[in-house]
Amino acid sequence: MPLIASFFLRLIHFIYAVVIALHSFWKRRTMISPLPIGAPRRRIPKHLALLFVVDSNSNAEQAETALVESVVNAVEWCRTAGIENLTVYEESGLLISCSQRIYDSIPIQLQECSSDSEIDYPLTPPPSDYSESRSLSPQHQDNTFIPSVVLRIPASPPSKPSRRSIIRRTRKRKDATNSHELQSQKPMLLFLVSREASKPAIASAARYLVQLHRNLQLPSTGSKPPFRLSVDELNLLMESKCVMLHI
Amino acid sequence: MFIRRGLRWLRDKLVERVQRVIVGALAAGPVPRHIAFVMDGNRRYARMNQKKVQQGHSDGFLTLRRMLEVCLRLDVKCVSAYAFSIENFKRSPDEVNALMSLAEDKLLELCRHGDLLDQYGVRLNVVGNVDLLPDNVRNAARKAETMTRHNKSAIFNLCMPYTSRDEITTAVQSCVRNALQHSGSEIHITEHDIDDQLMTSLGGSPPLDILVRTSGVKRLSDYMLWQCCEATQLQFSSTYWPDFGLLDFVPIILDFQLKVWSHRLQS
Repeated sequence: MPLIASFFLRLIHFIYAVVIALHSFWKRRTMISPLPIGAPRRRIPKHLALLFVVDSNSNAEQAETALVESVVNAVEWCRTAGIENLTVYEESGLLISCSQRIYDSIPIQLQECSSDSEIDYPLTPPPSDYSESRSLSPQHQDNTFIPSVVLRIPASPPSKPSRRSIIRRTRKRKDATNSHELQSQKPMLLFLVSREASKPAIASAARYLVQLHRNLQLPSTGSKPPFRLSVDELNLLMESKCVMLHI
Repeated sequence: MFIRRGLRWLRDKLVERVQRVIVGALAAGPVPRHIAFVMDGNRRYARMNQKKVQQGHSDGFLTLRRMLEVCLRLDVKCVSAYAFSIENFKRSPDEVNALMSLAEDKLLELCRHGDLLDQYGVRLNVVGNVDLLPDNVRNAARKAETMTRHNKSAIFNLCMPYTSRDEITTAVQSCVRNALQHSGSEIHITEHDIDDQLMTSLGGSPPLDILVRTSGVKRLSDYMLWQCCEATQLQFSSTYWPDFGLLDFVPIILDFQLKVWSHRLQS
């Protein structure tokens, strides 16, 4: 009986493989190409997260190069699409160790002028010490239990430093294309995280709570109510290291 | 009329036979230890079939019974089902009351002598913040758990009212309480300690192998986030839960088996 069942199972798997192959072929034939990345869309996510899995057959240098390239591409696409927050996860922490390389590889592109805009000249000139240097280096978040490296990717700077900066404003703010352009001009936040931002972070918060309550040295007279924690309190603690104490 | 009835009986018997053969064949390969279902789509199913929402939930329960039996015949050791979210208390009072009433009836029906759980030796765990349930439902849940406590062949986790964040918070709370009771010693709370304090772990559930969400929605909706974030196969089916059947389930098991075989080949 087990042999017959095994045989039937192989047969079912064979039929399944054929069905999947035919389905994939059909989908490729009838697939509608997606719109270009910069096309206006009805809804754009505020925060996108990507999980990268490194090929276990590649060496460390190859893995790092592939990761950096993939993150840089993702940043460019998100900037074009108008996504303001991008989190990239790689389990082992390789992203965090090459965060400086990622940061140095992200191009800062110049803003293009649009022809049908009106130009407003501000009353006061801009600071004359504008430099073409990048914004701050990758920063390790230390005000939360969720360890991550944050890169603030600026909006495109003005093309030439000058005493007057020109502010361009489009005529039709409500137009989807124009609002999309405005979105892509906002600075973007790139978070690089690893597995340490997951379950270990919650364990770290739990240890912190124990330490905190021991340090409070509550009076031992009478019976102490048992420690209580709510979902909102744990959330607040994880994100901001703030604790609401019940005394 | 008799011929039609006879033909229908024959068709049902044939379908049942074919299903048994398929399940028997699937059981010859790797079988997941723990499968979780997010039973989504009852209300949309009801609207699509011009039924009341309550009827949609009742039909959903029939599907749960059917799928539970398939899993047990496949020798899956643990099945979890997301029956009611803590967030669902925000729905209309009529719907919440109808769901609570359905839960009270069906909990005891499932655990009756000779019924499904008794037949397969399944222990029922009601997983969630049960203090939020009405008294009658909470009592029915406790009674149902007691009736099946002696069963050891498999586990059925009925998650109600449940959210993963509530489960994780409760686990952290337990770990902190335990650590505070041992004053003076070093603080050793690890992710494994929190894992051990999860309601599913306390009920003896093995690690989660497959999470299935029906109705085409591709979200986790605060269900088993801790359990499913590492080695779990996430499966999103476009079928509404009351319509979910063996034909929808077979590809999920086949994908799981391919994954296991591929992993064995690589290692």
